[in-house]
Amino acid sequence: MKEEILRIPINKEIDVLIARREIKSEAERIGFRWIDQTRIATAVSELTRNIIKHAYRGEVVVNKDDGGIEIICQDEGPGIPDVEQALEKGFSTTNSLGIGLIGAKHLMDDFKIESNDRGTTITAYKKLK
Amino acid sequence: MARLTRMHLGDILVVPIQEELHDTAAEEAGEKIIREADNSKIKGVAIDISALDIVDSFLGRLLQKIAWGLKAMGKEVILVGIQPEVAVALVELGLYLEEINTAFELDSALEKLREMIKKGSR
Repeated sequence: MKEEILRIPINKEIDVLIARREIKSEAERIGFRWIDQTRIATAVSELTRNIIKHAYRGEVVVNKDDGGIEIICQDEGPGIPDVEQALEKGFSTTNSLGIGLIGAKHLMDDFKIESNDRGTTITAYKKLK
Repeated sequence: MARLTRMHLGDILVVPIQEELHDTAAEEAGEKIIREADNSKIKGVAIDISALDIVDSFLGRLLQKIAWGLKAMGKEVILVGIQPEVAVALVELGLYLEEINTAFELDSALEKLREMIKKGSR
């Protein structure tokens, strides 16, 4: 059964630190091993920074189920014009959006982006192993 | 931002990052380090990040830029105390910190840095 355990508004730079810190504590409480706690917190850091940089505000919602933890980052920003391209550009460019997205994708087990001109929702999942 | 501790040990500047920094604070800390190292007495800089349990792509790239900047100024640089979980996350982010010297703890970092300074002045 899915249960919401956290909902944190993301409006200022400091919110990135608050979100990743609180989600890391929750991950620890749920029973994630230390290295996965850091992976989750780092992914949250990347995704919430993208909200600050590209959308100015949004929120992160954390759900828990029997299998793991779901992180949903949503914003009402201008959207990502080309999701495929943002994920393809890789680390060689100065494209901070792409680096954050690809990084978060690598750190999590499942990763989905929905984006249009009214906003972006990124859903990432980490399995409890 | 909060105070940034800086210690001078002979010709070495030691900067321990003691708390989590948001992006603007991290950039300010970087500028302070560069400014502090702009001194002919300073030949090497050790940046200690052992207190940090999360280093994301922004901070990782910023540390890389600071190190490259210091090198361009003719200073030797070493990054100290990258935590194991941070190391794993950095690699998964695609940040390999190439060409940056690292050390497990401050003791060995200072030793390594002194050797690098000695080699560089020959």
